[in-house]
Amino acid sequence: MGVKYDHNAVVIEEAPKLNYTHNYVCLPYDYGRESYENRADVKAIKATVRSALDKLDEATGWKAKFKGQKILIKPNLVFVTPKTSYRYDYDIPQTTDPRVFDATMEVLSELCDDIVIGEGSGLVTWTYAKMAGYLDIAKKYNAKFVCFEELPTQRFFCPKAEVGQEVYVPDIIGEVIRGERLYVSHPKTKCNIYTGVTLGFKNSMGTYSVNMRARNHTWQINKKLTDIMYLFKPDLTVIDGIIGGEGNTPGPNDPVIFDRIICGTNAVEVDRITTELMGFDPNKNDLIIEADKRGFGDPDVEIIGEKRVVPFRPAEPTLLSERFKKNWPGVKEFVGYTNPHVPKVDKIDGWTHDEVFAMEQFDRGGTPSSLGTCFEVFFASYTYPLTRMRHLNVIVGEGAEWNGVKYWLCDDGHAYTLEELEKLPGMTVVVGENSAPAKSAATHPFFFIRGWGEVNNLAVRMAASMMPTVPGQADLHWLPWIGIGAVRKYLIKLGRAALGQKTDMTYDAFTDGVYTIPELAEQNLDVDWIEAPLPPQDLKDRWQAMKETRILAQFLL
Amino acid sequence: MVAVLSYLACIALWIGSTLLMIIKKNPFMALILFLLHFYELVTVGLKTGREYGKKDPVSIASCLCFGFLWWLPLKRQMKKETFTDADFVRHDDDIVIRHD
Repeated sequence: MGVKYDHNAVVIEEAPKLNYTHNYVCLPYDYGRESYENRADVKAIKATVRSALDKLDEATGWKAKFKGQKILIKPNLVFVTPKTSYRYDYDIPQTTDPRVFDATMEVLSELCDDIVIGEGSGLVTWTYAKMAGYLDIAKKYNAKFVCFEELPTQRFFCPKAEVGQEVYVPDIIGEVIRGERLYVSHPKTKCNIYTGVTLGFKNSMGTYSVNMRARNHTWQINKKLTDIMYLFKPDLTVIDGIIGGEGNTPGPNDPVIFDRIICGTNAVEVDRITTELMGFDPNKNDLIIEADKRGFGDPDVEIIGEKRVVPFRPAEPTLLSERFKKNWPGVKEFVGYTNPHVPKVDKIDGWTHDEVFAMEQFDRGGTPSSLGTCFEVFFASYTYPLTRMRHLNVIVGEGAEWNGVKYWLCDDGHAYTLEELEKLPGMTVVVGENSAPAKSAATHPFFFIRGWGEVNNLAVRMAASMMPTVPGQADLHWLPWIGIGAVRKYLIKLGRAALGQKTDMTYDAFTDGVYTIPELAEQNLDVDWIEAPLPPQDLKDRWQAMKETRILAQFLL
Repeated sequence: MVAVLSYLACIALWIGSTLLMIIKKNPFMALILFLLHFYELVTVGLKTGREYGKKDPVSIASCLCFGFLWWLPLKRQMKKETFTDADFVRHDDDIVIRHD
């Protein structure tokens, strides 16, 4: 079960004040050559990473525990978007800086021979690894690069989990869970629209199989992410804080000069400190609160280094903020949920902005955040000036029930009935599987968007509703490679399915159900996980798995 | 966009000259295209590819097909990514953003 530390520490290591804005998304052409190694930024980053890891070693002795072990190191690859992808004049900092990752690999490769770099971006991981230079890094250190979504999946039961007791992960994560391989989490310092920040243990989202990620990608997301830590915890966390990312990640975010490396042996504590350094209160971050509740933090952690705060612009998972309204004056949101956690509807008019906002934020891990991501992409795209004034009504949620009638609140202060929504002028989209009661208000059945984990569906249909728009990734130099990466992944998954090696579970993102294992609960098993091998696949199962492998989902989901 | 359109135009040129060669028995267009690209390959293409880190077969095939459309962007990229120490000195306007 991974490394056991007697003492946990977090190191904050300041980097020299240089201009690090060259190649923080993609490595340069001369990576690995003398000219690259002699660059001032590369030398400074390498020295900073080494110093941070050495200080951590002095405090915790992590190097001795890693010596000779097998390692899986996971960066955070989301979109790899050089500045040409959007209308901005800077690269989009979503992915772990490959220069920092290279520096960490240099240290790790001195300790271990068997290193695997693994990532499941949920997108076209192989292409993004190629674009950013991760394939070159793997080659340089004689490591293997694996795309998680292309690996055979394994099933585990997790009796203590609160949201998902049945978990599907790629086989290499199975090795980590069984303690056969150590796990290093190497994320980037950035905000996240679903969870506030995305750091050390949120990075584990990418270790789930792709469809598993989509499952419960709702208001339950924080519990779901914390559940992972019953299976495994990062044995080492190294956070790339050279250039951070603020705003609505995974939509296009903005770079922040942050100038440091943060590393530690307890991921929750590393995340807590980094959240604080980003100017947020970790005690108000639901993900960290959830991890604390389950005792995954360490109150005795030693903190080494100076806590210098650089405030990040927070992610805004909302269509109700001032910024959103300024950017999209024609978009109106109508939101209503029937749930004990949301404001109760007891009036038709006089709703305040804060009350409507509270209603909207109930499902932060789901629809509002996915919508926020889509609009951020449209905002950054070259076609924004054409779409800025587009009139669009967005209906979210099943409706808040009062006296047997369902209502959707709008921040014009009125609670709308379904009949009123059906008569709204302009185009109307209905977003989220739970919003089905309002689907008759959609301009066309195509614009009832099932949402939640169905991100591809949501993005494509929202783009259609915002015509004329070209979604992000309009980097035409790399477009053919994105196509090649999608086809490559599709063929590998198809081949594995034919061979009886399922790479994923059946897609079930449209349910908000909690996955329990009644027979285990009855036995009241007090263990963190149980291996639950999948039954052998007969021909019918294989055919079904092949049919479930979808080319479009392989591209976007 | 321009780059993609240029590549498409070059492919169209090759298809056109090949058709001319097969249907009209006129090899001159294809020959000129090949000789031009071959000249570019030996004078600048192969050298640029090697400097950039491309494998020789890739450089040869790409330069013979697309000529300067292939090697010129590589040269520009190398120029853009060739830095001196002055490029890494911190300035206040290293990143100017905030689209809010």
